[in-house]
Amino acid sequence: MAHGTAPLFEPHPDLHVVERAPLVLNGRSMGWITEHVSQIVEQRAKSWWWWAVMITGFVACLVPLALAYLVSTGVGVWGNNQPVSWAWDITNFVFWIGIGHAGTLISAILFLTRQKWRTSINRSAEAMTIFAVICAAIFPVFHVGRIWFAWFLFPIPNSNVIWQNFRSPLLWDVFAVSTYFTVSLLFWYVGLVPDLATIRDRATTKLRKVVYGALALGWRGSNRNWRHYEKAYLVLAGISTPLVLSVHSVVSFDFATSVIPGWHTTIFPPYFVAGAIFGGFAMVLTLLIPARALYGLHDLITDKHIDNMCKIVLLTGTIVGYAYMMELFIAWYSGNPFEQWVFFRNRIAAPGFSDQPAPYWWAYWSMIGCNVIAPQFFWFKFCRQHAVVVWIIVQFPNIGMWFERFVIIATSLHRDYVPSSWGYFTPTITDILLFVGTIGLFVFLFLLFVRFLPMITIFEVKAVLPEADPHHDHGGHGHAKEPQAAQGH
Amino acid sequence: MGDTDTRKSPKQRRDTDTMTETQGRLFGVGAEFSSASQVYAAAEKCRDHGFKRWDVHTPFPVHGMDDAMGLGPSRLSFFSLMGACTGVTVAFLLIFLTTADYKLPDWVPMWLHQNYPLIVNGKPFFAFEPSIPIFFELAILCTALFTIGALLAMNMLPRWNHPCFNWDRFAKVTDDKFFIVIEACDPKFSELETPDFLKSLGAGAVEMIHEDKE
Amino acid sequence: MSETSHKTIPKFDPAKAGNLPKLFLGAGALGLLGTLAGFAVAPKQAAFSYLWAFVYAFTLCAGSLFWVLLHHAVDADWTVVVRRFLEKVAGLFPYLALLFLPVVFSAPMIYEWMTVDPGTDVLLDHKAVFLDGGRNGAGFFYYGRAFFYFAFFMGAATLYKKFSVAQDADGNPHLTNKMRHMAYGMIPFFAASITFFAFDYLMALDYHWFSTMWGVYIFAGSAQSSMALLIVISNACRRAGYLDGVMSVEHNHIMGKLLFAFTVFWAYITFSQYFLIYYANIPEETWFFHHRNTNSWQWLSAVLVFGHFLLPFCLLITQPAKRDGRRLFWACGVVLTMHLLDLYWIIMPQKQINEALHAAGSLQAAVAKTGSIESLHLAPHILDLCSLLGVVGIMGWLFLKSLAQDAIYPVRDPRLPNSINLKN
Repeated sequence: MAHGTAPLFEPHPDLHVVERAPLVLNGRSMGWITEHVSQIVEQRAKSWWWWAVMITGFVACLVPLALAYLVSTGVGVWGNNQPVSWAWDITNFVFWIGIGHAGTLISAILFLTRQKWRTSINRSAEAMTIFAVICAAIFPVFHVGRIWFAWFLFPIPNSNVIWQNFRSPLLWDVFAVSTYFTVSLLFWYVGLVPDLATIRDRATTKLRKVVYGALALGWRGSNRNWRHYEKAYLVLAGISTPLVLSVHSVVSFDFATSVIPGWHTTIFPPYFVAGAIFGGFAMVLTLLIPARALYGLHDLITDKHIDNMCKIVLLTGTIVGYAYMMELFIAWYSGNPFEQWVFFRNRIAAPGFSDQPAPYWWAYWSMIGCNVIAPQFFWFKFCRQHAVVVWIIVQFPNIGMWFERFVIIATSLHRDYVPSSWGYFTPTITDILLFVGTIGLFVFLFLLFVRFLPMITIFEVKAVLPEADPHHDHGGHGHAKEPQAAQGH
Repeated sequence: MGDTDTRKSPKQRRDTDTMTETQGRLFGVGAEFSSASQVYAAAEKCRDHGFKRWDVHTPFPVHGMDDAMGLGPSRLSFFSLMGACTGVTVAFLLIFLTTADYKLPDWVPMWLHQNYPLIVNGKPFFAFEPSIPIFFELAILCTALFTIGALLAMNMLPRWNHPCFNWDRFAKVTDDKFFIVIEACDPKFSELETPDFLKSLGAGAVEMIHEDKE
Repeated sequence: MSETSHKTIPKFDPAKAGNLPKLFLGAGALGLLGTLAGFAVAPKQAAFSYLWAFVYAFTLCAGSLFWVLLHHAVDADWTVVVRRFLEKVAGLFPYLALLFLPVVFSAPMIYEWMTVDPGTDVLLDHKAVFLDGGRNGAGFFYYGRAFFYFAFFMGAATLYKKFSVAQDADGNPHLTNKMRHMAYGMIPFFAASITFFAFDYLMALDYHWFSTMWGVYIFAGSAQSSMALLIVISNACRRAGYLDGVMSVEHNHIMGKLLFAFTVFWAYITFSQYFLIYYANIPEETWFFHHRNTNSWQWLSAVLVFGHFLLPFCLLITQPAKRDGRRLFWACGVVLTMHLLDLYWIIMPQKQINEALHAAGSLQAAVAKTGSIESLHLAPHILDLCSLLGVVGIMGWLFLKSLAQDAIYPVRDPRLPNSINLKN
């Protein structure tokens, strides 16, 4: 190597300013990591966990109650009706499915781009994905009305030779969401296997040994197994990356293939994907910051992790802002009066700026404020470095991304071409209780997850420790590391 | 090294293995190492020694261990590709056979006459572009299923038990210890010399591993 | 710096490159002369051909700037050994700004809306504030915007080149942090500049047509083709021995992965744009694709689907392909050619559309008989070749000249050792 035997230059005395923060703080050992993560599963749950599980479990009960009422009475118990025939149900569907995307992004895209910091957060983010998709699936399934005919969605041979309309975006949704759920679940489980083996090997009770032993599939860390395992993980990451793009693109096709002003615009697919990742990362932060504090995981989920995630929230929030601006600009540039009506009269026109304010102006401006303005605070290091401040700021994207879907759906529908068919959507109590119920369900499932499964990928975190490098004891990466080694250690 | 006289075929060895009251047949010899770099160096030595039926057990995939063990790249992605092809084929057949405008000859069994062409949205009966999302999703789904299936098959998992688990120190393999296990059926295995060989590589603990008592 | 270290700093030596610089200069000079003659003989064709060649160079430079910004924003390691090439390609922006002047002068021959009288087209009157050149005003906003795009691109590229070269002298790691912090702030400007450049000079070819995806589409092509260009340049230098012990097959692998990723990204963006317009089937949007699927243009459309996406996709999908310099090189050749054809497909049909409209009087009249413009045909012209040779030749020559000025890779970048020791 050119730099090998005789470095060209002496290292600069200030080289430490570009040194990267370690991924695991305080030089924790492998044993410490195993112990610290596993004991969350092994020890008795703390009282806060019981309280939280009971409360969220109670809230989650709203889901079956609201659905029982809906199935027994009819979809009319929801507030959507012409002209706003899609409302909170589809809003909530897109909201939840979007939340899930950060999990896949962290587990797949950050894996492919070799972002090692993902290891501490990918497990819980993937769990979040699965729970979010569960919450999401509730809405379209029950929106079909006669739930007992929901099997019509799937290509099952039947005596009437009735097949699905494969040219319909709604059917693509069925394929996309069910594929997404299946692949996410498999991906998550494959990642879990070595850690389940850890719990199995530490088990002190028979029950734990049997349950985790069965789930661990007899994993014994064999390198012949790791070899295929790593390949399989790479393939799964490789297919999950286009999958995550496709899922929200297909969701955006539900809107964009139509001719409805406000829905039909070509930037929708990447804009939806960016928005989903934006909202998903906000939710990851929302869940992980308290979890980190409650379980004392500051050495594994470091401030650097939070900082990186804040930067992704800032980036994706700004991309979403770019898409809003493109929509606005093209609505004006196209000269299409209907497009302009939707954007300028149904959305933007706020009281005080327009003598005919848009009925949903507050929704639009909540969206802009939460999704475009609020993340800009992350330009400041102060805002990225204080967990409490971060947590407060990311609540805005959580809210804003819900509003975004509501704005897209309701404002485009409620005042269309013919003023006589204009309307205004107001949610019913069932709408509200069902949505609140899914929030409860989501947190409830997440609480069960942190209690019963290792919430941090133990084996991957070990693999990013300096001592995991097989050449660690032999003086780093060969000689070329010398300029830095001289400074670093 | 290796005294060739002590080598026996697996069959011979099985017949002469010491069968005690409490332990089953000899499975192999295990060696414990305390760091990734140690086990890496030891694996290279084992590879160079010419062992074939042996394995390295680590808490996480050690970078470059495949080379250190002399293993080639995993061929698993071949099955993934097969999955993708299967998915696209299934999707195409599903869409074409159910929606395209064709008439099967009468001699084809009735239950195969499944198509019901409908004009929707001004699109052709079999429209290529709107089929792409379904081609794609089924390709991904089948790739994932084939990949996981291949992973389990190639690793011969799931399994309830393994002789390695009979060694109590081996429980640390999912914590912070690294192991090399050389199986007794390896042609170069020697009950006397292999443990010494492993000790000479810096192993902390070396022990015989037995299969379950039958 | 001592005398000895001067000798060891690896620099590109034009003398060793044989006739390459001369070849570039010769082709460039001949091509530009030919284009100049073309402006006298067939000004309209020359204007379109020149725009095409210019946009090609523009997208390659803008894409390279994007990779520089991305490298700093994500604080990447691996890029360091090839970063100088990106900086030097992006550093050509001042020359590109000069080459932009012919586009400005020939704009009324290209952009139909510049010759439409105010009050004749209600849609144009609506956006005359934005498209304010020719008869719709003095063009302060239209050309003023272009000034800002180029000011940004030139400023950003020059600053990065300057700081990076300055680091060669003293290895100051503070510069690394400085460049990183700059990158965050520049990314929004980059996005705005490339988007509105794409709107102003490509989408506005047909001032009726619009697509919110347009900026992303042009960006995707830029990023993809500039990665291909980087692979070609870095491998050429590696083969010539300038990067011995610095660049390895691992760098090819990672660049191959990025080329593959952006091939898929381009396909995703392009498919989404086409598909949404196809599916919704609204006439004012479908025209764009309708024209490009008329007569022989549809063959080019098909070539783009296969050549711009499927061929590089299949060439690059396996791991050995990304590490094999030869196959990678072929894939890059395909990508760079296809990007050229993609731009051709965007720009050139408009010339024939404009002519058909002038002949028939209106779009309705032009398509009255057959539902499409019959005169649309893939018609390559010698001026296309002249312009392309001219712009690419001159830019190539300038690139080699600028490459020879400084070290061929950032010799004292604090991340250099990590980059050299890259393992995938």
